[in-house]
Order: sequence, then C-alpha cells, then structure tokens
Amino acid sequence: MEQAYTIAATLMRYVFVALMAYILIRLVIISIREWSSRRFWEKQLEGKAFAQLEVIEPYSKRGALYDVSHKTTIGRNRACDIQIRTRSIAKKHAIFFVRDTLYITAYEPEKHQIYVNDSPIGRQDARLFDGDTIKIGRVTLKVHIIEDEELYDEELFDDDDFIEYGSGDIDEDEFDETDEYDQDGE
Amino acid sequence: MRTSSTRQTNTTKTVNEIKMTFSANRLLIIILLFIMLGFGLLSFSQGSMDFEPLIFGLIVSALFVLIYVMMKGIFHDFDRPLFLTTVFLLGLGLLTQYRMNPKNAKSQLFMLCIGVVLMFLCMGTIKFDNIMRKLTVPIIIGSLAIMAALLVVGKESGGAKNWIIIGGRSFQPSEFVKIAVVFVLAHYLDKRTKLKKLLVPLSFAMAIVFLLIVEKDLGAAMLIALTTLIVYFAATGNLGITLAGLFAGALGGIASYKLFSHVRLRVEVWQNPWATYDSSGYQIVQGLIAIASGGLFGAGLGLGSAKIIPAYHTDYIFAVICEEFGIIAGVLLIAFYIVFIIRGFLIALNARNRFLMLFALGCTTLITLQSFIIIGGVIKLIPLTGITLPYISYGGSSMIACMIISGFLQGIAADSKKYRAEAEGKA
Repeated sequence: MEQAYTIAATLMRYVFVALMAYILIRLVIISIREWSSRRFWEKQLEGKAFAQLEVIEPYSKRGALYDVSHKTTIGRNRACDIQIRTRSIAKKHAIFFVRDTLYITAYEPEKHQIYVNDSPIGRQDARLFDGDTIKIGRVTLKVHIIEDEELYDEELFDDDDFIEYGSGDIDEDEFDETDEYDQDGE
Repeated sequence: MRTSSTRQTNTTKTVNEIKMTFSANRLLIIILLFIMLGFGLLSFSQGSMDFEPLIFGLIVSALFVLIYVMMKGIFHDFDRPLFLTTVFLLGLGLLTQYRMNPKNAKSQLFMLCIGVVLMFLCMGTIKFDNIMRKLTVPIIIGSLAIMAALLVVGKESGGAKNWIIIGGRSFQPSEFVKIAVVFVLAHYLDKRTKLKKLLVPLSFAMAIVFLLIVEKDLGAAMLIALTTLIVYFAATGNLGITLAGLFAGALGGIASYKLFSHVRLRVEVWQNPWATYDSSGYQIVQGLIAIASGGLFGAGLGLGSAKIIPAYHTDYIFAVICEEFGIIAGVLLIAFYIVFIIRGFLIALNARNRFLMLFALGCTTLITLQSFIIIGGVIKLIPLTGITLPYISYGGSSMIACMIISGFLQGIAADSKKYRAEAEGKA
C-alpha cells in the first residue's frame, strides 16, 4: 500500500501543478475579459452626451452650449475637449466623468479651484445635478443633465448656438481688458 | 464641441456577462477538484484507507460552495476573480496544514468559519462607510490601548511579546490593528494632503510601529510602516516626504541593528546561515534544503519531510509547499498573490469615493507586503520576519484578519460595480 501511495503521489505531482497553472491562466483570462468588457462600455460612455454646459459668464457668450460626456476635459490646453484660453484656468483644469450620474473633479485643486454652486469642491469628486452652476476661473457654467437619450436630438439645436472660434471655445478677449492674455493657449 | 450619442444593443454586454459567470462557476469546480484530489490522496497516506481526510475535504468544498452561493445571492456584484483566488489560497493552505498536522487544519477551519461570518459583516458595512468613519477616534484609542496593554499582559512567543490570551485561546492583536491603521489613514487622507493636517494619523501609525518594535514584532512593524508610506504616497503624490519616510525607516533599521541583539542575530543569520547551521541558522538552512529537495514538481504530497523545519506550519509553510508540490508550484503561488494584488488595485481604482479607494489600496498593500516579506524571508532574499503567509499559514488571528480584508475588498468591489451598472444601464 505504501508503495502504491508513493507511486500515486509521484504521479499526482504533475496533476497538481497542471491544475494550478490552469486555474491561474483561467483567472487571468477572466480578468482580461472583464477588463475588455469594461473598456467597451467606457468607450460607449465616452461617446454619449450626458449633459450640456450652458455659459453664464462671460456675458458675451451667455447661452452657448457644450456637450459633456464621460471623461470630458476642460482647460486652457488645446488638447482639452473644452478649451478656455484664460490664465485663471489651468492647462488641464477639470474632468467630467460618469458613474451613476455626472461628476466633476479638479486636476490640481490646491492651485486651481472649482466651485459648484459657489462652494469649493476641493479634492472631492463633486456630483452634479440639473441646474447646478460651476465656476472655473472666470467662467461660470450651468449644468443641464440630459435625462432621456431622445432629448438629445440634433435637430433641436442650431449650429448658431455654438461659438464660432475654430473649435468653438471661449477665448481670452471675451473678458475685461484688465485680464492677462495667454496668446499661445499653452 | 459636439458629440453625437450612440445607440448600441445590450447583446454584447449580456454575452460577456454570461461568459464570465460561466467561467467563474467552472473555475470554482476545478479548484474544488484540486482540493478533493489532494484530500483523496491523503486518505491513502497512512498505508490504509482513512475516510477522515476525504470527509474534511468534502466539508471544506461544501463550505466554499456555500460561501459562493451566499455571495452571489446577497452581493451579486462581488469580484469573482478575487474570490476564486482567495478560495484557491485557502484550499491549498488547508490541504497543506492537514498534510502536516490534521489537528492544526481542523483548528484553522474553525477560525475560517469565524472569518467568513466577519467577512460577510464587513462586506455589508461598506454601504455605510459614512457611519463607519465616525468610529475613527474610538478605533485609534482602542488600538493604542490594546497594543500598550500587550506590554503589561502580553504573552511572549517566538521572541515577540504580541500575544494575548482570551478564553483559553491566544490572539495576536497586531493582525487587527494593522487594518485599523489603514482605516484611519484612509479616513484622514480622504480630505487632507498637507503634512501638518495629517499629524493625527501619521502619529498614530508611528506609535503603533514603535509599540511593535518594543514588543519585538519587527515583521508587523515593518509591514505597517511600509503600508503607511505607500498609502500616503498614493493619496498625496508627495515623493519628497515619502522618500524622507523611507530614509527615516532605513535609519531606524540601522539603529535597531545597533541597539537590539535579536535584530543583529537575524541579520547575521540571514547573511550566512550555514555558519550557524546547528543553532540559529538551522531554520533557514532546513527551509532552503526543503525547497531544493522538492525539485521542479515536488517530492509528492505526503512524501516530503518538512516537519523538521521549525515553524513549518506558520512562517515556513511556503517551504513546505515548495517541497511537496515543487518549485513550479511555488512560483505559481507567487503568481496567485500577484493576481490578488492586481484585483485589489483594480477594486481600489473603481471605488465609489476617495476614502474607499484609499482603504482598498491599503488593504491590498497589507496582503501584498505581507506575502512578499515572508516569501522573501523564506528564500533568504531578505532577513526572516515572523509574519504569516496570508490565507495559508496556520494562525487564527491571521486567518480572521485576512478574511476581514477580503470582506472589505469584496464589499468595495460590489459597491462600485453597482454604481457602474447603473451608468451602463443608462447608456
């Protein structure tokens, strides 16, 4: 019996190692599949507009609208989805993202604050509701959450609602003459 | 800037979800097969058929299935890969413990059951994280009190005075205090990043580390100190202060070496265990011999002689696994811990808020560092410290603490997936 056990245990070594390797590989495959599924849905979220931002200040651009979807960035840099060329705004000031609803968070809150309904959000992810006001630098925006996908119909919005500045962004000269200009937008 | 909305069907999402669920079910069956093959083999190890290992294996398998079914029922969106990794580690640990000493395995199973109950409780509390955070100050006071009490009433074991006896059973409070440290750090670092506003949590962490050093539990002290630095760096991004902390820790290590003889002994034994093979170096040498003698595929379950290694069931369980299952199995075991770590970090990244993110990160860091510190010590990469291999080593306090950490991680995962599912539903 002992000899039989020795033979069985010696053979089973390979089975145990094979099973361990198989379990590990399957775990990695499950993780990769889950990650791919998540990436797929993140791309879906990035394509879909969850809200619109209406410009309140500066007065000259009041009424202009910007779409906001998952990972929409706002800042001075041209690479940002919404570019605002003024020194009071950081190169990358904030990002909007979607979990259960729309949130905004600042990149560098110690240097460039964001105010939601006149309250600074600090390092937190601030949840946004319909009608909230966001103050970024000298720009004030009002949030309109799109409740129903059908509300977002291209025919309802005229191209004239959007600022015609190349990419449709707010430029420095919309503010007072006392403001400093950032010519290169970088 | 304008973007157009996209309309997609939910077909692909449903197929992927079904694939993942089916994979998880099938993988659990494979893990249970591994466990039952091991216990089945052990049934013949004494020369005649013994049903006790088989029955034990069946109980363990039934327990895992029950936990899986309960988690699916109560917390639908828990992290399946993390759960399966944990189940495998627990199964391998119980199998190895049973092989070495069935009495230890039965005791470990009992502590696992307690740990499972606490795991479910911890999963449920994540929803109420705001209420939990109100307990931060009592947690700080309680942790400091119990660690200070060890100086007076603590029992010494293995050179460290870090055990307390309650109801005839001994517990190691430092296993739970380390979770408390991570909790406190996450609470304060959620809203504060400036050093002067973090005096409370950092002083708390340093006080715990100091008390552990005085109690000669250097492994736990190093674990908590490194975890504090990592969580601090993740929260603030302040490389300067983190490096200063590391430097201070290194200076503390050098000071410990100069001041404490047991630290000097550990370092000397690590440098050349062969010189004191028959005394202080015996454990390390026997561990290395055990790992080498197993070869690539091991001596075979039940055919090794790892019992001659001191603390084979706790600190040196990794050497036992390498001897019986092989070095390849040892490497695969390390890979399992890496999978655990990656899942833990992903859970942290997807957490609902900053506090839960930092808490998940801290819990994952604890398991990461603990596993690599002890494995590193066993293979003589670093000086050996007296901490356990998570989920595998014998130890009631360690098992319960690991299950509590699993509970918090799974709770945070389920909580964040719920929010993501709502967003995906809107898309």
